[in-house]
Amino acid sequence: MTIRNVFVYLVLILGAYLFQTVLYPLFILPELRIDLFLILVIHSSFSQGKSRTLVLALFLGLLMDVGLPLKGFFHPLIYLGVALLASPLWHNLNLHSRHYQAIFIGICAMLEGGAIWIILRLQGAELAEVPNMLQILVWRSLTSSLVGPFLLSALERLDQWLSTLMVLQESKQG
Amino acid sequence: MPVTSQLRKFLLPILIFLLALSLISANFHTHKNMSFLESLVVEITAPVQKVVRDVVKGVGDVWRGYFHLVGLESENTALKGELQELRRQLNDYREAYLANQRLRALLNFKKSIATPLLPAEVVAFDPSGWFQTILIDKGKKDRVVRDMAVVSADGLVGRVIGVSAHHAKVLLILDGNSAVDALVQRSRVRGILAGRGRQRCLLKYVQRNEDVQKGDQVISSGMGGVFPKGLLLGKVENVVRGSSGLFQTVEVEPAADFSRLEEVMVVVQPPPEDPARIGSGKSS
Repeated sequence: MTIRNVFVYLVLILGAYLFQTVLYPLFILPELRIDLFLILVIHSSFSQGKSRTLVLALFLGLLMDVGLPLKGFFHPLIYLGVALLASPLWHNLNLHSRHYQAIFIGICAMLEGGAIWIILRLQGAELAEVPNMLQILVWRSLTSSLVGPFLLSALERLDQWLSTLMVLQESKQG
Repeated sequence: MPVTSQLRKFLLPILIFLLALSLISANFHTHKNMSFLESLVVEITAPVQKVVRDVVKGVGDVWRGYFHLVGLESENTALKGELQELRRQLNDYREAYLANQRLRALLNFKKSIATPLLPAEVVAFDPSGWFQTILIDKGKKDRVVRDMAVVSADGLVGRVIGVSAHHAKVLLILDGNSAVDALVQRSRVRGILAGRGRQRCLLKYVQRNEDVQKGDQVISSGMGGVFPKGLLLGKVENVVRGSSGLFQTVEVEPAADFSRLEEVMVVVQPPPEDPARIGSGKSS
């Protein structure tokens, strides 16, 4: 991974973070919010190595936990779990297909929401008792399934563009 | 595959899972300030978040301004009528206020000291969407500490749960983890106002025979030491008394408009020390 790639990933992470903390609450209904960090982790699982993805998952999880009333290691655990699940599935199953990707992203979104529901339930929080939490969970999973593959596709194109740029640069130097 | 290698294969994930679970349970709500890592992230990202939010707010203001011009005349007429009504109400309130002052003086009530308020701007919201937290642009440098109450012009917003040098994390009263000792203003019935997310709260532990009606104002009781007494929390939206059970279900609509939360005020009044912590000699 070149410095340019690292820089592009940092910009993507910052963009996703700003989108989720500033723009989401203003413009997008809770039901339609896609976890962009989750998409980044899944994309990294598909395109980067396992070790890089685990580092990215840990970083994104910690970043996500900064804004939450939970202290540490909640989202890292979820993202690490997704990364560990996605890498072998990518290699062993046909996750290149957009249909399977949609199902996989939907399942991941549901697992993430489910884990949060369990934590809230363990804390005795009121939100966990509200039926619309389930509604939000279902809608979010559906939205993630529908939009997620397109985001993955865009990230793949970005990766391709970066590799082409690198090859061009190397050929020029040659 | 030998049994030992199979065991080793499962042992690592189980250990990681147990470690993470213990860290979650051990760390929940125990730190006074944000950790170094959290502070670093907040201090780096918050200025960018503020710029983005300002830009979005500016564009939104222009957009709203355009639409406000449409139908301004009819709105003006309605507002004039409303102004007349408010003037009459103001006069009534002024009379009541003066009567109250006289009675207070007569009864030698100690005049309450006005609590200093620190204005702050909302910089960002919870990134996951599952919790109800905000980030404000005032922190340790502005004498903000954990557990300080945060209010808006309409009512109580929440309390500070984490502080960095220039920013603070606020848990809104809408969050499922929030609990405020509350009173129904009219009947002085006590309960715990717990968040339910999405502009709704629940007044818990109100006995079935207690007098609570739709439209009653709910205020903070001052018990617990975090929130000053008398802060407006919201009004009763719905009361359900089931055929069985000890308590009634009281739904409360918060007074503060959380969907348009832009500026808030921190009640700069240090929360009282927790006796348990003093007893154990812990400084946090």
